[in-house]
Amino acid sequence: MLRKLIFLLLVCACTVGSMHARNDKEKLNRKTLSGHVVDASSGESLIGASVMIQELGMGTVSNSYGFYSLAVAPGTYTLVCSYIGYEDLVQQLVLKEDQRLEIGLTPESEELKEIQVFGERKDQNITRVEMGVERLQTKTIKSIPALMGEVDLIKAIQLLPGVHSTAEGGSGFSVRGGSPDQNLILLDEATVYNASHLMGFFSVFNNDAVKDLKLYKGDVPAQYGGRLSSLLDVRMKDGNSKTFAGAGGIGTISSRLTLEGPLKEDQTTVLLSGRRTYLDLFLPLSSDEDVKNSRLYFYDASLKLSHRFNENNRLYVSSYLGRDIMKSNFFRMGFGNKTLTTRWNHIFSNKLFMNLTAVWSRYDYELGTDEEDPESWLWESDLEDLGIKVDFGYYITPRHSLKFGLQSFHHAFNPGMAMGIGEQSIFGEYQVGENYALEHAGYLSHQHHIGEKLVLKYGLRLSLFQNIGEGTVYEYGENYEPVDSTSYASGEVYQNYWGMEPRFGVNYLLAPDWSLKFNYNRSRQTIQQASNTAAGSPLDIWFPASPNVKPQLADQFALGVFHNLQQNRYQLSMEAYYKDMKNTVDFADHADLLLNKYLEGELRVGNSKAYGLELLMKKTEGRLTGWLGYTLSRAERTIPGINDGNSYAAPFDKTHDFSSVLNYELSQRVSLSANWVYSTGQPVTLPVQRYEINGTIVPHYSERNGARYDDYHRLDLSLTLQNRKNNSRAWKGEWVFSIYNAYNRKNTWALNFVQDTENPTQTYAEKTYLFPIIPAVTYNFKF
Amino acid sequence: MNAKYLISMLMLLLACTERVDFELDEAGEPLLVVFGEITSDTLAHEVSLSKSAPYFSNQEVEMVSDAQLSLNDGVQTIQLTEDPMRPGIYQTPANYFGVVGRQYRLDISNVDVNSDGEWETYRAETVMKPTAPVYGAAVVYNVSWEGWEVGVFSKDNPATEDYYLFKVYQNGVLATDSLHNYRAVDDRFFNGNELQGAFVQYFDEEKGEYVAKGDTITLEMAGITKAYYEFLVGVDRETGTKVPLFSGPPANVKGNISNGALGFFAVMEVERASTIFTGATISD
Repeated sequence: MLRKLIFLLLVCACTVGSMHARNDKEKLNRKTLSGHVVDASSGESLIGASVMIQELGMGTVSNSYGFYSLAVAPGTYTLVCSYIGYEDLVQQLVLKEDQRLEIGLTPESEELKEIQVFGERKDQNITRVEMGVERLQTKTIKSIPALMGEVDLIKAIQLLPGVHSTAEGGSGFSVRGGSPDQNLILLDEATVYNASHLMGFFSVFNNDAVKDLKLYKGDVPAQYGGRLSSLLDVRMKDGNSKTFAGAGGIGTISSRLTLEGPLKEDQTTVLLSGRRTYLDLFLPLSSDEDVKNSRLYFYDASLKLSHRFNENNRLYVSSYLGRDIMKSNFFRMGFGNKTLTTRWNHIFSNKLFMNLTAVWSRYDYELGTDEEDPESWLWESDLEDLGIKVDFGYYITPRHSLKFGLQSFHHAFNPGMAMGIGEQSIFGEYQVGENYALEHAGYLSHQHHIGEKLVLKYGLRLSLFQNIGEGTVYEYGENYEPVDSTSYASGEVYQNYWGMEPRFGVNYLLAPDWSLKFNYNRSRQTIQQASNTAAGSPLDIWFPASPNVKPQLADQFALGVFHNLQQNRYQLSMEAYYKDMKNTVDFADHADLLLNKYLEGELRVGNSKAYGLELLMKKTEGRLTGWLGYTLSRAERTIPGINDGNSYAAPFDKTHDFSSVLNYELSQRVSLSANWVYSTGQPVTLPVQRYEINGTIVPHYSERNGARYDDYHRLDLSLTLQNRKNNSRAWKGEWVFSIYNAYNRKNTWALNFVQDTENPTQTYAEKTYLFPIIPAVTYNFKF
Repeated sequence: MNAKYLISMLMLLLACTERVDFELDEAGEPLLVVFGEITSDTLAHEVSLSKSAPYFSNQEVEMVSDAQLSLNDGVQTIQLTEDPMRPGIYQTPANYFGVVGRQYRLDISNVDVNSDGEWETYRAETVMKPTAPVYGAAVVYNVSWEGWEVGVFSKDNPATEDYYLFKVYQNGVLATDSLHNYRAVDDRFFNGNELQGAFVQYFDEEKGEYVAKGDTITLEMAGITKAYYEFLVGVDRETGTKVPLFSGPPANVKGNISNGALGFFAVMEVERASTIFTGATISD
């Protein structure tokens, strides 16, 4: 298999080589303009900024590190660089030789906004070949009213069409009908396995430390793989390379502080960011002993170091540490993610950009009791990744660009270990058994502009998954009971799964403000989560493909029409998708997913499909900004052994899903935000009969997910009040007043069928709802 | 390891509940519901037959009379007779007792649950598992939780995968008289270990249960099959509070009666030990 990969890469290399040869003549004449696009005030690199040569009507887009490269014939040109939220930069340029140009863009100032002249190239949604991709700026995320005032990027993406939350107030999200574990969440290239804090109500990302986020609902670049539904690519800020600066906030439940600045100007930059909740700091005031000694909080911290050796070499080190702690007199629990990414950007030539990434990430939890009882116990689980990737961007001409690379990951799974602790404990040690896997991939992707109107993007990802020892594999009988087991020695490869993942996209410009896009995407998933609940919990474990579990496969087709109105002030899009999935995992009735050696015996595997239509209208500039999104969709599974083998609605199927997110600037200092969401209630299985056994009434069900909760809707509001401008002071403050669930809708979180204790022949339905109207105040500052 | 329940409780502190009206799908035909437990004790063991009903029917359960029940234990076949005072309750002869290792088969006939004029037959098969020896029991009042914890002294067999059911009697009266206060465990976490006072049953003051000083508490430990254990766990999941963080989709509880009937027919060996509540308290 490795040989095949190497062969593929050789083929790639040859293709590149021959392209070189063919274009030699033309190429001799071309000169390359390259460099980075940065924020002029902070030095922060800008991702996805458009760099255009007006005369040629050609351009490129800066990559994830702000790098761009354009190879064109020598000449005198007008260079236009634009980025949302920044003033356009228009510059005359005489290109005779290969040239480095660092482009600094100035953030749009409030005063200018009123008389904004719209830049020409804010139509990336039309011109780019990618589709099903949403980018949100941290500024936008900040303006969205948030639960308890905690700005949360995952809650923000849940408001996009095709994306919805998996449970009320939760930070799990489903993309185009997929499960939450089908989303690849990357923070500076490191996988975040559990993106939630506090039982899912807050996400792990601290908005102050985030630079950029991009959600791919399909059309995942060939560079990434391993998940069927989506990629959420979150990039941390590099930090201000010009001056020391800070930002922070004091909120209703947490406070945060971010400090950034140059250790050596324009060379070494550091950013440090932290957040901690403090509701529990009031617990000691309680008169109740148990409450007094309880703890319930989370914190997270991010560190980023960037160093520029010279114009061709940059190094980035980023690290994230987050943890939730719960403690009481008799019980304790902790869980969290840790990541460490080291990246080296190297520019080989003006056209060839390389990024080498070494990444480590870990998710773990432990819970237990105190040590003195016969029932004292401790339970631990963790998952650790170690990987290396090398990615190349080869900007041959503005019409041709290549991306290629190799990656290799090592995964170590410890699904769970529980044991008695202390002298008296009756419990022994129960070890589910660690297991290990390797995941390798190579990819090549070519973006090709043909004529003025057509852009093609095609690529191939080859992936290889290997189970390696030391590990034990159980063999299961007809009734999924373990019948035999095989143990493998350390390092022994006992299962290989490899596959090709073609990725294809085309964009046809019907008119300057109209485009038609089509996309096909195959993806494979070899690591999934054992979770059959609606909201998910921090205890849910991840498990790999194995001799018993085949990789999940998805083929996604999408077609979209994109149209911009009024000089790109309004962006409209309509996308239809169809996803066909194989080896979809669901679980047996009453499956035992935790601390179970025979977890694989609880799996039920079948097929699933999802299809839908997404409409989006977005306004990105002016006093009123925001979007309206609507999705009509269906997701269903057909799995032998579940629902008598009949198709049933996938757990995250929602027929209608509407969201409106609006922000209106009342004045330079005051802005008002509102979002309203409406969706079909989530599918639920309801009882049809009941039966009684010695006084206990047991429900009896018919169809899986045959009914639905009530429709879900909610309005959130917020008002942001900025302090009076004082230019002599660096300190800028603002107050944010927010109301979650403004009209106090009692949205169903859980539905229980209960036997009345007073009158045991009576049964009734009882719904649980979580959040009433929740007002919150946050003070944010910057200096 | 009821960490999940602790977290769920925390979650539920945040939440509010209210009764709601719900339209449910058509119930369909009633099904036969069978429940019986035969133990190693010598007595008239009972099997009950009843009918399922639409979920919100909210009426007394309808019993099934005049059925014929025969029980084969591999050595003999006996007929169960319906208690004339309690329709739908069928009893073995008073001198009957179960024997460890025997295969049991219950046959039910002469019933027409769906009233279509045709007789139906049902069958259940199981085996009698041994229990572990019970060396003693203990009862203490837990101040923190406001309830009485009943502990067991026993030793699990290291060679077998075992499932146990715990019931408790207060002054000779069965206190755990319904499935929802049964406690069933598997030996996954204590296989082969000594159980020295491990907490296995509970009297909850909040539910109005009360143990007075001097009360005799008798703990009963039964060895049950994996299928019965899974049935009890299933009932517990379907009748307990569902929390979106931890509760999987609702599903029908799997019994061991053929022909689509609900319920379970179980056979088990039991051992008991008694203790007197001295008023001892603990806290944690």
